[in-house]
Amino acid sequence: MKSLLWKDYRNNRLLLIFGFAVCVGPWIIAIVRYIQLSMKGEDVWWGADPWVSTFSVSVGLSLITIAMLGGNAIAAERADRSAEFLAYLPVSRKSILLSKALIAVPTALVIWMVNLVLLFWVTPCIAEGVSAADMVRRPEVREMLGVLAATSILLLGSGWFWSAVLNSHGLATGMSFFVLAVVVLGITGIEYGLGVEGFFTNKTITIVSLVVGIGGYMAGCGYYLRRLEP
Amino acid sequence: MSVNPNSPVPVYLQIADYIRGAVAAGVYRPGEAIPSVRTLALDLAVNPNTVQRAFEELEREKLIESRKGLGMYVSKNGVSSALAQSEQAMQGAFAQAIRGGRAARIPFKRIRAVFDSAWRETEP
Amino acid sequence: MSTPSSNFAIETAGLTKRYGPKQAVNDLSLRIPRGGAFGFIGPNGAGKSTTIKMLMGMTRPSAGEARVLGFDAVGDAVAVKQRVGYVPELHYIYRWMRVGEVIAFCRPLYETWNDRFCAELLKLFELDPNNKVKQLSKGMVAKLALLLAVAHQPELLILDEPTSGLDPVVREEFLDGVLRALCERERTILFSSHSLSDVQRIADTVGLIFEGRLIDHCRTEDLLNGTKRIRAVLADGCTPGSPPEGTIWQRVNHREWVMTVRGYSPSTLEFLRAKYSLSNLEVIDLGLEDVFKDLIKGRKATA
Repeated sequence: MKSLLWKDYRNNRLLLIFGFAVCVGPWIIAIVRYIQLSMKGEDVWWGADPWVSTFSVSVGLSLITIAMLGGNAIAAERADRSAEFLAYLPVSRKSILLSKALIAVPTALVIWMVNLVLLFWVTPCIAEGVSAADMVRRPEVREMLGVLAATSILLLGSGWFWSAVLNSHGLATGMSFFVLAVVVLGITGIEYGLGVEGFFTNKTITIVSLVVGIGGYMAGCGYYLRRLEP
Repeated sequence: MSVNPNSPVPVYLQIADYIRGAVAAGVYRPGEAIPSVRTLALDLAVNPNTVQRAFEELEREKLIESRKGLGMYVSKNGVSSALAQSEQAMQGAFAQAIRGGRAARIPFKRIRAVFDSAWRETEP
Repeated sequence: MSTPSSNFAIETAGLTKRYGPKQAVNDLSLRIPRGGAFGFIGPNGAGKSTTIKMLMGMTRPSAGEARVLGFDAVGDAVAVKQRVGYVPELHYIYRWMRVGEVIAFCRPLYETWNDRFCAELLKLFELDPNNKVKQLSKGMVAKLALLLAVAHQPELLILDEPTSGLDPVVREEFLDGVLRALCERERTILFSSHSLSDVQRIADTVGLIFEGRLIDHCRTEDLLNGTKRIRAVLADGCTPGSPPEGTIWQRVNHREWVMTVRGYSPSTLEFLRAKYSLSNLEVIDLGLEDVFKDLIKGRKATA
């Protein structure tokens, strides 16, 4: 298992580095700007809004990383055919899959954790007029968190599914965005078509995304475990 | 010595022939050890089972004998047995050549002349 | 780990694989005893690689079953892979890994990995542990694959066209590695190869596959001893008719009638002499390559 984890880590190293840069980059820019402005004695922004924006930029961009974590998981090894090498080693498909999951899912969680810690714990400490409790009370902040979380799960889960089924990791990642578009446009389309704007509450959209994401993940796992071909 | 894998002669027979010839020529004397299965297999690049098979054939002919734990040794009557086998092999080669001559309707006298010429040609 | 007892290294019964309308492997029933060296020969696309993939649990049979070392090839695939050393034709070892990393990756997966033998082979094959796989030449990668296959002391070695595309020197080094593994302890070996000279060196039994079917399975020497080419020169006025029993291929050129007979015996000649008036009759011994070619040509002609 250690062998497999090391292999999957090394296989994804570039993506992990990219993901780290995209996750942390916006925060570094924001913090540096804040410090710069406050050192110059100029008016720095007061309040949570810019920090919430930084959070949404970071997590928003990281959605690409998360989709790629899903899309690369299985299909990348089929694309370069190294899956065929793995196929004749005495490892169960369960172990192979578990190792991939142990790289993909924790990474997505870490991206979220880093952002949540930075927004709700670090910025209240270093910036003025920012309070975690206040932020959480605001409905638009809660909505943003919900949307981003649901989208993350949808992208990771459906990326994972397409990765299990396809031979190209690029296509798998692309398809996960396609699924996202279908869900969003589908809901909007139904509302528009039926003339019932606002019929689908955010809660419904969130639930649909969760179902698609988690369902995709489980379907991907099930398919991969049943299949014999590498 | 090398084995010809494209030859119609099975590999184990080629190996047996080689060892027989070597004994007849005095390369391995009675009482001396012949190379082990492993050595021959790696040298000739053949399956060790094939070498084993060749040894079994030669053991049957009483050319070599097995000494427990030490390997294969040329037996005392090894040389005469080898010579007998060599003669048999030679007869087979002659028969094959003569068949070709008969097919081309070459008369006996000419075949004899060809034999004499070949004898002279192979003078060391 | 207990092994189901079986005298056979490989047993298949009615093994079939269909890709849509195409039958890649058709009702293949085969038993290879332990300790033997089995050469799997056949033209391209005959179904050798597909059969091997089914034995290794890498593709699901459409019908029939396969057991390797007593284990079900599909259901107990991991147990099979623990005990089998497999060398494929095309290698896809992780190109970014170094040779040493590949070995470190594979080593913990096997219960019977032998470090000493592995080190010996590394030296013999002149593989530098620090080189990345993508820097290795084709021959070096083949040797690395062989090292990975035999370092864990498998009971069965399966080689699928292992020397294809290798230059003669590397081929010899590769075969040397295989033979060292055979000398080290008794193993069963199954290898499919186009190089019939390699097959003749290593295999004691051969199986010929054509269009997904096993059309011949016997000891190499029996195949060679039992298959002869007969060259008959017909007398004037005599025309060739039905050939002797066991004829797999024939050709007529003026008065010359050449046929290859599988299952040759002196009665074959008697048959010819009795049925036709011949001015000459000659028997020619064949090497494995000629036997193979005639078998295939004959099959294609009757198809």
